[in-house]
Amino acid sequence: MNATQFLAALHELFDVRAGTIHKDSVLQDIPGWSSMTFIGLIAMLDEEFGVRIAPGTILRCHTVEDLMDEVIADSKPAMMAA
Amino acid sequence: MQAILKAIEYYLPPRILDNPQLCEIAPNWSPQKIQSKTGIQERRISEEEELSSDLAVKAVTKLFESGACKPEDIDYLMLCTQSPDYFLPTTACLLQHRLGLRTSCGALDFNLGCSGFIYGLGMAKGLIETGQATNVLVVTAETYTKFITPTDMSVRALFGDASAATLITAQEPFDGSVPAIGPFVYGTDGRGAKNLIVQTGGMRKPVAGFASGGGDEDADEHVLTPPTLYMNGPEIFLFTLDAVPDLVAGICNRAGITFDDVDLFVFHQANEYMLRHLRDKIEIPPDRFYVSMSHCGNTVSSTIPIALKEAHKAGRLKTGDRVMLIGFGVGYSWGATMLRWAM
Repeated sequence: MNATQFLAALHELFDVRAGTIHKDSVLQDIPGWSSMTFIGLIAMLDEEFGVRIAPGTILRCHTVEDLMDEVIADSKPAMMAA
Repeated sequence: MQAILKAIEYYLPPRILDNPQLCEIAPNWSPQKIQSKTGIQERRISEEEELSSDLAVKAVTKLFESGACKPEDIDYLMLCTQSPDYFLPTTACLLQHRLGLRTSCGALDFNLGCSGFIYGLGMAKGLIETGQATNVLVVTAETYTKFITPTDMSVRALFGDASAATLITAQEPFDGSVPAIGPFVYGTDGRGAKNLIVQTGGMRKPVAGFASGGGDEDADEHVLTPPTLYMNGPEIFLFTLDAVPDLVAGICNRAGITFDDVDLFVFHQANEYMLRHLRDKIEIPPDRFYVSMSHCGNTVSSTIPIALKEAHKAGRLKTGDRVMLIGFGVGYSWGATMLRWAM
């Protein structure tokens, strides 16, 4: 996973114009953030990146980059095993 | 003799809450967005004086009127509800009288949510196949909307009120090699209790105001707080990602089947977005995965019988078909079974 892939997946999930979301965007300030897109985010991380991040962990992520770090940390054991 | 599912009827209260109405409460949402994220177009809302027992009477009366059975045939009634009329007596006892069932009929309530229909089938099969009963009514009825704060969109967009009545009856096996209902897989994890809960109204937190103030708002040492539903949707979703694939694998293993042996998959209709994700994750063929919730929302323990009824009406089920039923949710509680369709 790289930042480009991650940002593209977020743009698709939130259905926003390209360039709206950046690495330093505040996660919960993304246009359209709601209880429903929160569930969509968990689904997207599971489907696209094969990780299950606990909702509490996601809420502790301030920026998109913080979340990306969590995804990388969570997927590392699998990547190493592979 | 073996237990078979002979008939299903369901009832929805007439009052509709549709997506444009919801958007009046939450202007940052759009009807299309609610539809795409939940798969729900409208939910039905019980009137203030319309209780689970009233919905149940309507559903069971439809069953009697369909000719599937008569009141005097029923020798056991079980009601699955988390919104009973009273702490006591048992709402099923009230139903026995209102439905004109005989006094030699057994009756009980059981408190489960989204997994409740599976558990009801399990108990009904047990009663019938041990010779304790011949015609068991499994009734599911909920008025969750009475627990919902009008502005809490996370639950208001999802839940609707409904009741379903299912007749389980003793019959000679029509295919000795495959049970008409079963096998079963069950599961429970009380660690998830806090994620879908009505905290007040029980003994731990009785509703403030009734005891000392008698409901008088001027008695300001207590604020009247009606029992309110709290749902942590993301945590519930994460739970389903963990539990449901294993549940599906578990029932396949216990029944000795593969997906090729299943004609239709009917999951608890929680939220279509979540269901599609689970379907793709488990790799269930979309054409054999049935969803029917756009007209009524998540009706808790009634979603599976409603979907079965709709699938039957739509010609998606024929006699002898094998159907996988998967229930999961509040508790956490989950369960799965297989049906050999007998209608």
